[in-house]
Amino acid sequence: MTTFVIRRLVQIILVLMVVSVIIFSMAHLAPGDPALIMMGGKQSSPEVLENVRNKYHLNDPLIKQYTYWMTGVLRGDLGESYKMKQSVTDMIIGRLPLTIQLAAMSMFFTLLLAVPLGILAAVKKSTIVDHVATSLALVCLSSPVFLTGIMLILVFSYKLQWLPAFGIGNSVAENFKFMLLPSIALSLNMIALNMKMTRGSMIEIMDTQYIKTARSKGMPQNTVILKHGLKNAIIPILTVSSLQIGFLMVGTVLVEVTFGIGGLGSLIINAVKSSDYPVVQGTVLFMVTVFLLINLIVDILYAVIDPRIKY
Amino acid sequence: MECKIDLKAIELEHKQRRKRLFKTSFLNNYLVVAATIILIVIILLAIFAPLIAPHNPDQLNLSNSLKGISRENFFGTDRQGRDIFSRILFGARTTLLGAVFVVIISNVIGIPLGLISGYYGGKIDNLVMRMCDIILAFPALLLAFVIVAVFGRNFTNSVIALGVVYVPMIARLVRSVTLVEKEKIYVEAARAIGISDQSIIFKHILVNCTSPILIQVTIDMAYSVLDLAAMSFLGLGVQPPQADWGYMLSEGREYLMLSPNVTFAAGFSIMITVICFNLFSDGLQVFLDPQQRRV
Amino acid sequence: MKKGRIKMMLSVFVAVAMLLSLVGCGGNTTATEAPKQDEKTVFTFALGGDVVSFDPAFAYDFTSNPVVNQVTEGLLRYNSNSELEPCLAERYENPDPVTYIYHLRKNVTFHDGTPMTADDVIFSMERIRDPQTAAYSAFMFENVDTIEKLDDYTVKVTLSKPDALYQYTVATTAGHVISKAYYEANKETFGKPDGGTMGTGAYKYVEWKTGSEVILEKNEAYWDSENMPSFDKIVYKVIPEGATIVTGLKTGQIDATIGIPVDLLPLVQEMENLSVKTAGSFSFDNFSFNTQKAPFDDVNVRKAISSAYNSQKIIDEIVKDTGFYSPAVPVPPSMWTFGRDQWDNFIQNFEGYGYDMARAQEFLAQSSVPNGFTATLVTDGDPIRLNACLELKESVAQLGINLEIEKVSREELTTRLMGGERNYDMITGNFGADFPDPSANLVPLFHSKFTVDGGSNFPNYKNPEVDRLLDEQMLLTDSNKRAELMIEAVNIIAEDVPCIMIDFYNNIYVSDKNIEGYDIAPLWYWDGFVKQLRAVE
Repeated sequence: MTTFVIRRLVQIILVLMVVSVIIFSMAHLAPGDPALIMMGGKQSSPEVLENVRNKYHLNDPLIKQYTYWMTGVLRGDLGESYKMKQSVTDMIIGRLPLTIQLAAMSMFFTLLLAVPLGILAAVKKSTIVDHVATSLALVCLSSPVFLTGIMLILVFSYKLQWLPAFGIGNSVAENFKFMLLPSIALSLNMIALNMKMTRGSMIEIMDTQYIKTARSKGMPQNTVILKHGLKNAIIPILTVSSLQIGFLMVGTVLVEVTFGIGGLGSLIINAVKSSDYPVVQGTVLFMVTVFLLINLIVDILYAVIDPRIKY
Repeated sequence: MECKIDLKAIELEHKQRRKRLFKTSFLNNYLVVAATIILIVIILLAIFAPLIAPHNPDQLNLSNSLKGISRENFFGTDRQGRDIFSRILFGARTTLLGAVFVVIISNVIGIPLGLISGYYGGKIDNLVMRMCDIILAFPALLLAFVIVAVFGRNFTNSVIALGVVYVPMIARLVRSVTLVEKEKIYVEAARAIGISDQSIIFKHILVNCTSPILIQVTIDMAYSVLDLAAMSFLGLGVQPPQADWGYMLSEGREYLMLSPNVTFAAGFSIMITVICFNLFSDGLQVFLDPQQRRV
Repeated sequence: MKKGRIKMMLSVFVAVAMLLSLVGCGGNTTATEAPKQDEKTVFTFALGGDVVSFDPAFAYDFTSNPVVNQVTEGLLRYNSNSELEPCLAERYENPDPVTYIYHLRKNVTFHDGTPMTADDVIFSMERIRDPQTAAYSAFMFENVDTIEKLDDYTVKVTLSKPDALYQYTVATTAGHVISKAYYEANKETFGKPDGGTMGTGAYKYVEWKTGSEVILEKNEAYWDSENMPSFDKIVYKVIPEGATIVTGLKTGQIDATIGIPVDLLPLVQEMENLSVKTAGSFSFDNFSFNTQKAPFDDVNVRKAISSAYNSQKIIDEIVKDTGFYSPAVPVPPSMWTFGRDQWDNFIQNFEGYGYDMARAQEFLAQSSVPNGFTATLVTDGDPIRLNACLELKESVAQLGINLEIEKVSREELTTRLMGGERNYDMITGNFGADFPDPSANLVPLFHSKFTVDGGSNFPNYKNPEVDRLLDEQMLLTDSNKRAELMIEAVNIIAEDVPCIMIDFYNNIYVSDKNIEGYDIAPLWYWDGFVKQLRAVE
């Protein structure tokens, strides 16, 4: 186990090194003069621009610039935004809680809706209930998350006026209200796969000998399903959920833009649009790191949950 | 003699089995049939858009802005007074063509990579798989965002970017099939009689990869329609006045409070197309790959 | 079995009901939290984008300024007629064209209680002027030679040559005074969320949650007793979505905002709880030709395209109340702060190259490309500019000209507009002067020295005669003579057609009907207007 973790960590570091080179060279291949971008399209003299170039080492060879950036990164300093004149690290830290809350709520709703629906579809296999549930899941899967979001806004904000359409509140608790629609929009998109997996593994397990035995002994239906069936279906459900982490991360980007939430996602999209390369570099590197680490943690969790898995 | 008869019988049985499968996977499943028909209709509409469209999709008519549904404009008009129905038809061309190119790019790069890395193994395999790891290190669309940010925000670039992002999926799939196939007797036999690696890979192994590749292609079509729409929605796609579903959706969102027609028309077009690709791919999977049929 | 099915359906029903009630609860809290009118102490203002910085050196845009202006102030300020009036300086002298002497108020303290002196003023101005700071507004100090301290409350500014525009600088963020001691103690974080800022304004910096919210608090010790603020707190909400701002205004979650997307203005005008106030502005949208690039170096091509553009149509169908028709010169009437009759007379008799397709065809026939050509038109997604582009594209297609639209982000558009490469055929842009003086539009747009990196000569226009006229008027103090020279330059420019005007802007201020005290002005972006606001019944 320990050797596995160490091996994976080394691998992650190697991947991150290559990724950092790719991100860095891409940002510097991009058209547009960084000095002009930093001046934000305001009137300036060539002298001021030259000053800016020197201050940010823009006249140095690329390798040197990369070294500056990397030494900073290793100390936790991702550079300074061209546009906002702030430290990229601070900008990420400031926006992270919102994105985490959004992702957590989405994951929660996904499981809350997908698991019962999956069980229901499995128990009612090949009946109308099953078909309706499966078709619903397909529709949700096929609707772009921003469309789902817009429709939820139309219904719950404009028509019924139950929930705020956009924005965020002042605290985690208040944010809950603001993030209900965004997280439901995102989770609707992820339900399909989870439901399919729950349904599949439940059908498989309900077919096994010991469940049949339990049933024949006259155990109540619900107890059989929940106590014996679901318990064994948990691992495949977790697998699918973990596979969706990448999707979840990109999903938050789309949802944040649709609902005007100032999290990591809108940070990265605004930076991409405004050629604010330090922010693009920093957030992408951060997201890739998080993504790789979560994958590692999931792998470790497997071994903990299921003693049969050994690395 | 006997041997020949046997072969024929097997072939016959095989054919019958296919027929049966085709029946169960496509004909007996109304949904799949419906999806296939709708897909064909959408593709035909896209191909013949210039003949069908009642209006020029780019024709501005500012005084005819945001009109409702009428005989003149089946889906109403957008902010610029353009006919939404015509724009949806032309948008189908952009969106579907884009998705086709995404799939072509990812397959043209991914299939040879998968074949070579699976067949030869060793260092080449290692190199290819590490490259895939790098791409897969980026959460889904994120890499596409960055590529488009750097090389310019337009439709061609977003298609190329998505094509690249899809490569690892197809390469890994082909590699895993190749790994199984290359251990089979026919490959050994072919090698024994001196057939070159090249023709073994591309003539024999590739043929046996067709089913999984076809299934993957239909799934990828669904995903690339969605992903291209997402890119356009974020303003990383087409240039105006070109009609594109994703872009129409983001345009429509700006005046959603005044009229939701554009948003709905474009949104449901995307949704229906993706549903149909998904259903079609389910049917195809049952037909081509009955063993791996999911419960 | 049947029983099980019913149970299952029941449980789903319960789950759905629970979810709905959860949703319902959310709605209820919104209702109870709505602030009551009679105890209104918080003013909520919607910003279309985040604040860039609290550092006056970088506060130079329409979302940073309405925040920063409440916290820091300049030596002078503008009144509602766009005229200068005393602020931190109680008076100033201008004994000769190159000398300005400012007499500071003695009772002004920063928010931390320390007094404001000449040292702070000089430090603040020198810091913006220093090329190392790379301040956005550094160019305003272009002709300043020295800034000296005469005594603790007197500052003398000497110019290297007469500059008709310098006087306005100290009423902008470029002249905002920050505490020297505070800056030096917080160099790294100054202007950023952790460091905030230290000024003398009616409101103090409290908190900035980047990307979402800014909070300011009333300065109880504000020096200007006639303008003591009424609201205890200002909350700025960053809401990029125009539709959300409108919803917020409707429900009362937002009290006011400046600037509403064109398509949403009619909705706002209909809402009974809101008042909409309009003022002229110094800003405009236009198309610029790259006059140094073929075929746009041919004046006939420019005249042809200008004559093919139906400006009135865009005004009527798109711009509506958010702006008004603009003749070929970027000097709106609100800018005629002097020489008003001369300008009026000029505009009355002005012809230009307005919409006339027959004429357009004649011009193109006389040009170097009588059969048309293909070119690119760069724009951002702003609805007015984008629609104007679509309209122009269609119009010139009739002349055989194929204009390909290249839509880029707002930021990319500005870097291309300000880049010395001038890598475009045609480009849309907007510009608005910082000062109430026509030359503040004319010089940066048409003087050839602004074609370089960082300059705003969008049409890449180089005409020595125009340069001479614009330079000459800048040195004068006689305003009639200045107006005369400017009009002469404008005449030459109009004949050269380096750009096509789309519209002049209206500044639009939307607020709750029960909040009064501010009528928007052309130069609202230098105003610290919240202190004037009062809640009424």
